[in-house]
Amino acid sequence: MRLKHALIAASLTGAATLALAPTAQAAAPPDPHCLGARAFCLWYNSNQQGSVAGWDLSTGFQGFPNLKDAGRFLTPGAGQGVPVKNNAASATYQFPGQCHGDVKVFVNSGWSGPYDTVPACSAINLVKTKNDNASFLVN
Amino acid sequence: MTRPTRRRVGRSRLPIALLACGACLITASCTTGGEEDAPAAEPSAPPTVHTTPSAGARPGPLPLDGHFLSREDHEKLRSALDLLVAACMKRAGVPLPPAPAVAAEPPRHERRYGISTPEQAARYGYHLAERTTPPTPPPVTARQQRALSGTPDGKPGPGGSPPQGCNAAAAERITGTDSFPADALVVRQLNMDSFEQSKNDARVRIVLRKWSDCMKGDGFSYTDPLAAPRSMAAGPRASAREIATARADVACKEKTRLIGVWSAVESAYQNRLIKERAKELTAARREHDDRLRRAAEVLRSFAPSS
Repeated sequence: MRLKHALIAASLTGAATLALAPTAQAAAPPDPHCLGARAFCLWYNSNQQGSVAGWDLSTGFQGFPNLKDAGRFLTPGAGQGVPVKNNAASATYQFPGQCHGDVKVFVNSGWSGPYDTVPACSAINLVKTKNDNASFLVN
Repeated sequence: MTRPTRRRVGRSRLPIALLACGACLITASCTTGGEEDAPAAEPSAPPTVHTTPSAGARPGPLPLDGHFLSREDHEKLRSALDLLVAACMKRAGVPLPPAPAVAAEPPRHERRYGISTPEQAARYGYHLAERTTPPTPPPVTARQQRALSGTPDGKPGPGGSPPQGCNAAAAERITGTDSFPADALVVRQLNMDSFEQSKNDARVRIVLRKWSDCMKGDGFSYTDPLAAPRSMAAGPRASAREIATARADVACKEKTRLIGVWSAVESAYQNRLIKERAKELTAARREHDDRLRRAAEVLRSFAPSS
């Protein structure tokens, strides 16, 4: 798996210019190819496979309290066009510089319930939040 | 795509009347604070709760907490990784961007059972209190980014930096993968299992029903407190209705002792899971210890010689 998959996937699909669905969070520029220096990305399949949805966190975006605002998986691959909410199976958190902080992916909306932690510069498969993810919060 | 398996949890054999008896809300045989070593229950039976549910509204620690990456261990690992990344960037002649500040880590179970503080509910509803925005990291140049995160074509990066980037190269030294250390899969799995099992436990379902009835009395219709944040208003501020919902939510939690009961029941499930999955947890601990050992070697190798 791992972080490099984000870059490889991005390079393979680089010709497609995609935009995620508009959200109420103006401070969350989409980064569908997961190419940004500080990008949080959710993948439709385990091990960073399938379609991906990503966000550029360099603007100080704190996360979606409800992933219904996070749009759909739009890059080519399994899951393309499927809503992100409750359908992500793995995640990556790319980080510029020294890798500090994390993103927490919650089972429930409003950043409640148990969560999976995705540390900066890591790639993980989500556990219970696999296919049951409702919000995420940037720390 | 594989969908998660929903575990079925056996029904409680305890008479329901026993579940709401005075201070001992969970079971007729509860004891205060003691360690439990009850005879092994049949696998499908709900575990016995041996602790008195806290009357407090804030969630306390859970037995599995000690299996997550501790703050101290995290600091050790991060210090070693920081040194490796800095050295890699120096070798490549690419200046390392300054380390960005990170928002303070909230208590682990802050919102596990939903919000819990009346003050926060009254002021922010379900919105976040202090950490409205995490610190914005300083800008990173394209050259720095390639050196840190790698190149998509698999060729060496700026200044001969590794193709996978200095971050991944540092991670390989500590974790054996190009990913920075995360909590062990088995720990994360059990953490989710205990939550789901306890949520479906008859003792928790009773208190959830009481909470729901209490909310109905205040004019709000929710089956459980994890559904209530759906009332969150879009945007940075809570609406009047959201605040009213959040206040009723916390007041009903206090009235029904929901957090204390749920937390006590979930603790019992976690204790059982810890026993059942001891081998896997030990293996995860061993892997973690190996990473700490490698981190200590790195820290020693960078320490100034006396």
